[in-house]
Amino acid sequence: MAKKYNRQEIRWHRLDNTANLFPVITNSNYSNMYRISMRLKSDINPILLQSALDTTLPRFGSFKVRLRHGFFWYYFESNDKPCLVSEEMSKPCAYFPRSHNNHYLFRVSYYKSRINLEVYHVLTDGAGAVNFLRELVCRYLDLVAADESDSAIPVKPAVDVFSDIEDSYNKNFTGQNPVGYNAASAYRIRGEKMPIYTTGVIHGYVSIKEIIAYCREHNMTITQYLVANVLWCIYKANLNGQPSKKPISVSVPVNLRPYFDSTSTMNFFSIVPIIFHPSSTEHTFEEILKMVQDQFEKSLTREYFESKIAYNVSFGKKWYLRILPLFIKNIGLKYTYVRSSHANTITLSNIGRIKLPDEYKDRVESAELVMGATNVEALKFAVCSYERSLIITVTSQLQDTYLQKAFFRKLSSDGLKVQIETNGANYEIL
Amino acid sequence: MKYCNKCQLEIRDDSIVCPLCKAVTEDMGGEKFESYYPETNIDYRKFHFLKRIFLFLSVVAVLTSVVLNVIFYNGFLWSLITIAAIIYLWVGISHSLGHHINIASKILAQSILGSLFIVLIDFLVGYRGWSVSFVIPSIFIVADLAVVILILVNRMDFRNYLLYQFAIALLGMFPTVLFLITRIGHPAMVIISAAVSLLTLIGTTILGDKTVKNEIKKRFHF
Repeated sequence: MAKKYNRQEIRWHRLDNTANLFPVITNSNYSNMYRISMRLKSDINPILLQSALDTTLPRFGSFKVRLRHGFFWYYFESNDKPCLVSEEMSKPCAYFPRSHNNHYLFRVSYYKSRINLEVYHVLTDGAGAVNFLRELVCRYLDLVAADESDSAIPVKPAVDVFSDIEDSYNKNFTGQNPVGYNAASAYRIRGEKMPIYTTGVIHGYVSIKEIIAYCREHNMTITQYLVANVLWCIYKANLNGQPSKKPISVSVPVNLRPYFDSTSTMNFFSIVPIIFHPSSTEHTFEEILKMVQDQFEKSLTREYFESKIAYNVSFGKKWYLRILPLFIKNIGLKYTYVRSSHANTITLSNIGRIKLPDEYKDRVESAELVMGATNVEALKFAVCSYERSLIITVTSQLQDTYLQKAFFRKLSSDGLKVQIETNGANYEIL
Repeated sequence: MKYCNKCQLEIRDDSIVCPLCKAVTEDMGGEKFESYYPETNIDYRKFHFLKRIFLFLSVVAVLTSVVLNVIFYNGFLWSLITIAAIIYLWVGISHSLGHHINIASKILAQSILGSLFIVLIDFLVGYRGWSVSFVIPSIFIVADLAVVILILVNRMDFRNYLLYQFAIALLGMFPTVLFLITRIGHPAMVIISAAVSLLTLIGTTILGDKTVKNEIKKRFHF
């Protein structure tokens, strides 16, 4: 009889400092999901993928959770229900009610030879999700290999750290020189919207070798080049090369783990805004690039991020804010978010190179990142590379493709060979 | 593979036009890429049609009763009861029909909404205190017992019912406080309700032991 109660004890932990925002601003129009996928060389076997997930998930304590409301704060509680893989059915990053997947905050799906990991941002940022996906894919490849050769399954973890539940924001809080957010509203890209629940996805494949060579030649990093390109194309295509009253602002999420020597598997990123204020019709690309480089140089320092963290975390430290019930905190958070979101034109996220151990890397074709577009921010750029190719993915809720066209034409006029692939949403509205 | 001469880009999609500039593409031959995105069809028709019908009927009911009440006014605002009943139906039913809402939370919500509704009726038909001294205590006695049964039946999920039980028990003692202040009505049911509430409260705390402590720590961490 006593056995019946011998269930694993329920564990819980707090959300990290940034994650508290996501449950407040998420709704069926704005899912706050992003998707990292890997394409393998042959079609996915759902049964093996399920058993790969079943072995992977218990090791990742930070993924094996559900979100709950407390009286003062949200919290994660360990989730013992099964997490099921499914065939991809909806547009990428579509919102799904938590109860649809046993309250898990991520979803693993497959389509043809692609494995998708869609993650709700409250769990972790890109770096944390990549960690999980790498392990999942390697375990899957192990199972496939074992299935083919009837041999024992080798176990060689693909990641350094499975689960490190640490709020690195709090840990690196110094309280010195807090720097707030720029609240001046930025230029916003507007246009006719696509039908509800529809997102246009356009991937641009670029050879990593070519783009690195090009960037070296011009003395810039890939992110600097792409951000400058986005600014230039908004100036040229959306503003028709005219001066604008409002500045163009590109938000670039930055992984803070290297700056603070953290291995947290929860969120640990910060946003660096790159701002360009077109004041004449004469701006050149070189001028914009120089500005982008200067702004990056100033921002990508530990001191800058420390003051950002100092500002963000300080709210959670004030006793008179902490004792407010959750729903009142949420009203305040939403207000702050809506205000600050107007200071942003577009987001460009580069999660960099995804690496797999040598034994596995030839069995994976490519990796891609897709970010959900929102009502406020109708376009998003997501960049990710694997082995030979760099994939730039533009998601958009707008029917027109002016910016995408200008952007990819600019790459190709710089001598880079670009291949385009879409999800077809842009053809539907012809 | 296709090629767009205008954009000077290669296109993997099997399309006769360029997705970026809508210019007609040229077939390059070479490697063929299959589409990596499934067909997704969203059925827009089903979006809450039944709900809209009910919404319309509710508006009709409210308007009709208000109009009739105004025309044949005899000092009794009975249309307010209709309006309250419809609000009660909408809020209560939409909450109670939610598939993934905790049953104890449904019981709590129904108890609160039901009590408010009953007080309103009592108030409109000339306040005699029967709602506070009989109906509300009865509602909370039933709610208390319902959650106790729920806990007994579903012991594994005991902790998920806990805070709702506490809330119901605390509310179940409220009529007593009201009675002590106003001294209106009969004390019998009020006292029974308070006793049952207190008993469930103490019972769960003693028998639940560590689970109760952990659950409170979790829900109220700050």
